[in-house]
Amino acid sequence: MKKQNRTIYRSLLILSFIMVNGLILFGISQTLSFLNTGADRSTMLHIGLKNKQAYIPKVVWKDTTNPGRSIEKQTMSNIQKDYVNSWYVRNVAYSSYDSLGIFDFYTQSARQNILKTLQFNKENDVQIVSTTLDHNLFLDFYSADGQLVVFEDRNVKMYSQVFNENELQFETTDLANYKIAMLLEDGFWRVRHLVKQFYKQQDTVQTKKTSYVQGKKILVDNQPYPIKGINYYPQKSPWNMFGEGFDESIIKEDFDIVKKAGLNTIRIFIQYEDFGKEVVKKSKIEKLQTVMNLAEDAKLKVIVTLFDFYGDYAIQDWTFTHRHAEQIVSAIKNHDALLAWDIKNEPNLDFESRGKENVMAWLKEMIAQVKSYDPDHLVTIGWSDIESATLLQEKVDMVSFHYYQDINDFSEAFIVLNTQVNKPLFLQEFGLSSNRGFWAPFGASEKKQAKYHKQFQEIFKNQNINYLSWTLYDFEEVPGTVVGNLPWVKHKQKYFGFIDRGGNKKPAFEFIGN
Amino acid sequence: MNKTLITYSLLIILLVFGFKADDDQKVKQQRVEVQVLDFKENYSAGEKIELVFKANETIEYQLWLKSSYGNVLLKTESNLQDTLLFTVPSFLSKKKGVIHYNLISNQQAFHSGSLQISASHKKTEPLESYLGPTSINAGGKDYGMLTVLPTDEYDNPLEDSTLIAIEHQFLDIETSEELAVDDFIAWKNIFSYEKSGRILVAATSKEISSKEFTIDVFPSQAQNFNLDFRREHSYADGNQIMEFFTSTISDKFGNIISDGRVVEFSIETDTKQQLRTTGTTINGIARGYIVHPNAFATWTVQAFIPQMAESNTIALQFDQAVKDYPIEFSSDNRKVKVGPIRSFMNQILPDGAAVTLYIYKDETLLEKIVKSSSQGKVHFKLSEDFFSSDIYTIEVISMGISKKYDRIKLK
Repeated sequence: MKKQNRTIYRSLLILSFIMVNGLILFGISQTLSFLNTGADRSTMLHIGLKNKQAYIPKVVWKDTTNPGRSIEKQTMSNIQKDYVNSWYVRNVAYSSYDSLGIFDFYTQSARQNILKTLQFNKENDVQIVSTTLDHNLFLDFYSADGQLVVFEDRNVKMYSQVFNENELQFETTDLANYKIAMLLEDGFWRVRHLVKQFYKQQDTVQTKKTSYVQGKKILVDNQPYPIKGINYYPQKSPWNMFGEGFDESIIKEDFDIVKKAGLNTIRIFIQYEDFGKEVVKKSKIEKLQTVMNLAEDAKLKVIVTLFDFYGDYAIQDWTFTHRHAEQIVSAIKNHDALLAWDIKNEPNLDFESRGKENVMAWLKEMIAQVKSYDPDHLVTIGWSDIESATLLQEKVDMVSFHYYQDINDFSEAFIVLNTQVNKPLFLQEFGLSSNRGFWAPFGASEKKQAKYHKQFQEIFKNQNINYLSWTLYDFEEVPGTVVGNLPWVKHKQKYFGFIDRGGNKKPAFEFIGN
Repeated sequence: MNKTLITYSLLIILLVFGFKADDDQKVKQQRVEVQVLDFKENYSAGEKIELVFKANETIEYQLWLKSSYGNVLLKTESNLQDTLLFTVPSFLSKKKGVIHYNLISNQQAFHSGSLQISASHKKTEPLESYLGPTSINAGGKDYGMLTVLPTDEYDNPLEDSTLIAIEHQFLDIETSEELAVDDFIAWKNIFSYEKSGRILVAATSKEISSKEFTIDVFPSQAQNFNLDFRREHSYADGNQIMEFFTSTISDKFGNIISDGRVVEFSIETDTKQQLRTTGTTINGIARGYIVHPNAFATWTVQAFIPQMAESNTIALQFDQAVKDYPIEFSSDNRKVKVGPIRSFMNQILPDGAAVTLYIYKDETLLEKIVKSSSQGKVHFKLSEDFFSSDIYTIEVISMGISKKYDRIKLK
């Protein structure tokens, strides 16, 4: 007994010794790392500060002829950068009452104007969240010594939300013309004068009415085009189609399966971050183009869903998303396989967490952006349920919705929707998971899944409904970012396919199309 | 029973009125008519701006103003039933530009319009002006630009076509030109004249003036010039310092170039060596100095202002200063006494002349010893530690005279 006690004391002693040592070491390392914190020496040079643009509205120099001095490319880019920054710091000031940046991008006398307005708004508890979207610069004058510039900024598109006591009062998108004088001071181009000009409504450029829609019908090459298709992810890389596992041959085989099954359309997803956010990666674009080519080879049309996994919608973030869309859309807008742009998958699920106003405003502007880059293709939004389908129906070319509710209620709900909308309707996602098993003892069997699809196909046939089913394959892995980490939810998501993990066609495959 | 009844009826009342209130509002929104009551669209900066509207429904309105520098939200001030009065805050009514307004309520706009505010007629003194570049070259090609960015009392840029006179003075020339403000500014390029000097520039507009600005006009590019030299004698004594100097260097308009311009004097010797000395100009003249060679030489000299101007080429010759000197060996030949070296008037050569001794063994150079003369003499000691007893060839060179002794036996 004594001996045992001694061993216990001894081990306790040793343990505490180790712990005390560990603590001392930890303390020393903490002290050292504390002493190493603070301003990084490189920040003295203000290098990092200037490199990243805080937001990137579209800026175009439309005219640079001026009587003063011909302007250099480098100066134009400096002016443009600081001018855009001047809008940014102003937007930040009005939304957060933080006027620090104003001092960098407005001259001493000009900044008073903003500070006074800001003070007034602060007293009245008014916050304005806004962002400019487009700038078109026309140079009027650049001085011989390169220190002064006067230019006009026409058709400045600006979206704003006004809050009073944190309650949204009003939101607008408006256009304005400004005349600006800037001076080069301490290496910054600073706004000296900013004068809002009288804005004459330009002859609105009629965007070419897409030839793809006629009443409630979708047309391709002047022929009615009933969409019969499927939401597509490769079996091995669901929700990561353009990642490391990108394999042309697999996609080609899959497209053949889809085509042979009598379908004519697929829907694919562009992940916002994966593609590089505001600076879209070239490699990703190449992969996307490959997919489009493969689809064309297989005579399939493609609906491209943008902004997958994007969920910010903050007004400060708008211009980044616009640049993203600009690059993706411009890259494949002339591709023959392209059928439609789906702005965002199930954005109504973000209403609660991000605010309905924000999401709706973002969507509205994004539709305008996408149409400005590609006026020729259909634009739609993949609402997650049939009830949301009427949202923004006046803005989209066809109304898309998903349906995972009771199949027996579908026909009725569809008829109701059909009376509310006079654009083509499109069931963009539907399906049933054959997930009966440990996690779902009462889940549907593969037979039930087949029956479900059979029933839907009959409805489609009777009512001429455009459809895309979910999805071609059962998946082995579903990323947590898609549906969360609850095992039973993840499990369900793995069994929506027409083809099982072994590559065998499930009974439902018979009813993949009609 | 009673309780239940009350509860139910309350619930029903609540439901009915709840919905009704909602309905009412919808109806209201459709019926509101807003009239603009007597206010103009054009103002001068600083004027008080009151916007009055008449609405046939009295719901709470706000006025959203969008101005150049920012947006504000105004609440109605009037207590009258259907008249809505808004006063534009002075910091907005003082600023030039368009103010766009929306009369809003409950996230809807009922009326929108815009006002235009023009700059006040009272200008600020001094007129805000910028001049650059402020240093230019004479000759009428180079210019400085005066940009006037005049503002009114509220720091607004003035209206287009306001007249601004830009004046400048140079020597006895005084000119003034009247220009109209366009795109906020009036500007003029002031070209240099043929003379160098200072141009004074200013702008005025009806009694209001800018500060005085100065453009420094510097002489233009230097023209080619003449090179000359001065020396005390023509002997190559390796001691005297000679001087090269230029003629007064000026530009093509006769302006003497600015002081401090570097002139390079480049010398090529008859042995194809390049020597160089530089000088900077003072009053257009640059001087360069160099020591005489220590042996007979012929020099070709030219001066340059690099990339710009050059002089003529001059040739000069140096005569041998030392005709001969004695060399004395000690008995063991290990001490070599050179000198006394005498110069052209038989005077002792000034200290510091280099005397070089070479020791060869079988045609290979073993050692080179350089010493400078003192009182015209140099002593060399050839130590036993370095040169064992043997037969060597010894050569002494100084002031261009070489003396060679074959088969000297060091003991």
